[in-house]
Amino acid sequence: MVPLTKGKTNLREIREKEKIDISTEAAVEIRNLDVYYGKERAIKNVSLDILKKKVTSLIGPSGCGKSTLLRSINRMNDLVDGARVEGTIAVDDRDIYSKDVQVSKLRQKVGQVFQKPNPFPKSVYDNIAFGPRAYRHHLRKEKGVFSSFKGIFRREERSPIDGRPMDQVVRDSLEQAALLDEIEEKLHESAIDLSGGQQQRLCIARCLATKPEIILMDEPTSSLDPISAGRIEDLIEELSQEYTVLIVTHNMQQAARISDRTALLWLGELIEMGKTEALFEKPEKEMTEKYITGRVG
Amino acid sequence: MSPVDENISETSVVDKLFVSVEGKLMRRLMLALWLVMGMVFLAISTLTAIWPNFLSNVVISTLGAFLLVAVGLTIVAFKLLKEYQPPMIHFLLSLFLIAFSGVVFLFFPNHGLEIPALEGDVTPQLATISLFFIVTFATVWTGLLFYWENPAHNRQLAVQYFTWVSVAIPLGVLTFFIVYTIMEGSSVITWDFISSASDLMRGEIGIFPAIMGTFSLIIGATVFAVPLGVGAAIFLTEYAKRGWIKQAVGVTADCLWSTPSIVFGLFGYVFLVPRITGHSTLLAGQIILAAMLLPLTIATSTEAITAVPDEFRNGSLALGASKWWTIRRVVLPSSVPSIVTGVLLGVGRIAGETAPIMLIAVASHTNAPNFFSLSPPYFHLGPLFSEVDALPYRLYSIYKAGVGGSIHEAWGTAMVLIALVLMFYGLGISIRSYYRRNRGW
Repeated sequence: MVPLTKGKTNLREIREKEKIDISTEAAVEIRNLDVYYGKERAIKNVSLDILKKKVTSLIGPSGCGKSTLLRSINRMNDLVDGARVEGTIAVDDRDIYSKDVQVSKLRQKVGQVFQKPNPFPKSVYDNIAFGPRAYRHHLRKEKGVFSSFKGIFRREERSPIDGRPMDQVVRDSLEQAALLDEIEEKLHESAIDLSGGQQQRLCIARCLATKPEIILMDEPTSSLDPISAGRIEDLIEELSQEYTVLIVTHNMQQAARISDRTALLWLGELIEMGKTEALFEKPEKEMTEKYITGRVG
Repeated sequence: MSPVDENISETSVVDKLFVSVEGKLMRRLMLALWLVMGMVFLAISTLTAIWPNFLSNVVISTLGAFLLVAVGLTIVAFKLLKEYQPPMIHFLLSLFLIAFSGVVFLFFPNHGLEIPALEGDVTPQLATISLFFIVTFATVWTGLLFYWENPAHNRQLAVQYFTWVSVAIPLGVLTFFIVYTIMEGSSVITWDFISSASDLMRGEIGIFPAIMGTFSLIIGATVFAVPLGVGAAIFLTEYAKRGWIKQAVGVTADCLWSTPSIVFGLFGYVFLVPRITGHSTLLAGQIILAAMLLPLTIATSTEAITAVPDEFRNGSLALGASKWWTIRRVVLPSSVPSIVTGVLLGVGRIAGETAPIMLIAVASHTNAPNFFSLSPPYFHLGPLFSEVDALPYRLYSIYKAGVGGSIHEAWGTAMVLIALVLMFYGLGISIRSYYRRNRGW
């Protein structure tokens, strides 16, 4: 495993020095993470690994820092005033808080689905093509204005991420999000007119169009009805064959149903993390058992 | 049928008279009469303010005085008899006043425009003013009676009255302005009047240069103000999210907006005119009008951009879009309708400004600014550095100095100006309603 980083921390060295044994490859490695909002310490010394092509769920009571942890993986916490991160988060062995990391590329690689469906007030097609187009803008900034000069003479628009035609990217993403059959005729109509569940799946499709490796989901079903939520859950299980999924949820049944691994956070601290069945059936910590059985929280 | 209507019909004595016939119908009828009377009365007052001769006939004065006494006596009589009821008073007052204004409208037409002055016989003015007070008094009194009679239900009715009147008055004023201007001005509106310049030798009047001048001023002002204003708004909302600079710019914009327009003109005269050509120029006018438009553009754009939900921004940023891409592709498209509406409302205002351009940009009977030609160099900037004519200034000069036409041409010009301003408003409103359908939050 060759470290890609030029940043301040090489995770591989740390791992070798501390003799941490990891059997499966980790997509995200979090080491000694502290997140502060002003003076408030929202995440307290959390270390955990998120395994590749598995569904990991974060559970815990409100305000325990689940969403904060999630947002710090694609650096969306940078947008919050007064947020400060200490410690290390590595994606592909690369410290994402080191100075040479381009946040845009990180976010293209680590997609996020929000609690409330937030399609842009554009057509379905434009919503899904948004990510690749933004990436093209990014390339243009990197390589100069005339880098995409050739593209002007092309008849069809192509995604700059993998070079496929944009139409195909849109259709594939919708297909993957199990939405294509429902809205095949409505590709050029406003995304705002879709139902809530369709909007959320559109947001997932939008996220898939940028070819992410990791998908972060912040309570993706909490604003949906049970049937739509069920479809999203099925979708997550399918996605986990290709993508690493990290999902924050309040719903412990949901966590038990869909996730391979579960982590319990309590007041910013990681209480326990392990395989979902193990955690729900034979929790190691007393706190975990109390929380799962509903005696605290 | 609202619950209010059903509940008010029982109690009083005279009420039963009406109820026994067609109580609710009568009530409705009287409410309608009362409203119409209010509108008509407003029209009379306005007309009297415009034409002192409107009521100056002795007959009218006498009639007015007689009516005043009659109404007063009716009220007092009813009060003494302790049988008077609000609907009755409405009915009588409405009848009296409608008859009165009908007589006035039918038999005493317009005597022409003069500057109002309290000379000679002031009875009509006094009559109007007294009548106004009587009507106000009667309204308040009726409202109170309603309240005393059956507080719970009639309070609602009183509020209904009040809101209806508050809607009716502004609508009435606007309608009156527009209808009157059309009545007076439409006689001179011809294709030649709009599409040609004045030819004083041949005695022909045309306002084409003024229309084109006003358009040039507006377009120039918009071109200067909108990029600056929207840029400032983007800076204020997206980059300088907090801190004193945002507040400072906001307060400055508000102050700039409330600065009297003549002060803008003065600054243009002192600072711009000597630095451009030394005489009035279109460019100076555009810059000063842009300065007037700028604060409104900043305010409306800031509001529009703030109204875009953060979810859109987060969604875009989480897909790897840069901040500028997010602003350009998500924030601005979502807020463009509101920005355009705000700018158009501002344009509607500066289109009618006379004071600032009077000193620095306009002169009567110049040629229309002509930026294009059919021979090289096809496009000229020359008109930017010469004087223009503008509709509000043309109007002013006709009224004030009698230059460039009679009073009919003035009304015609006013009609064109109002049409222009309303066109901008209409455009703004239609753009807003068109985009509102596509905006899902």
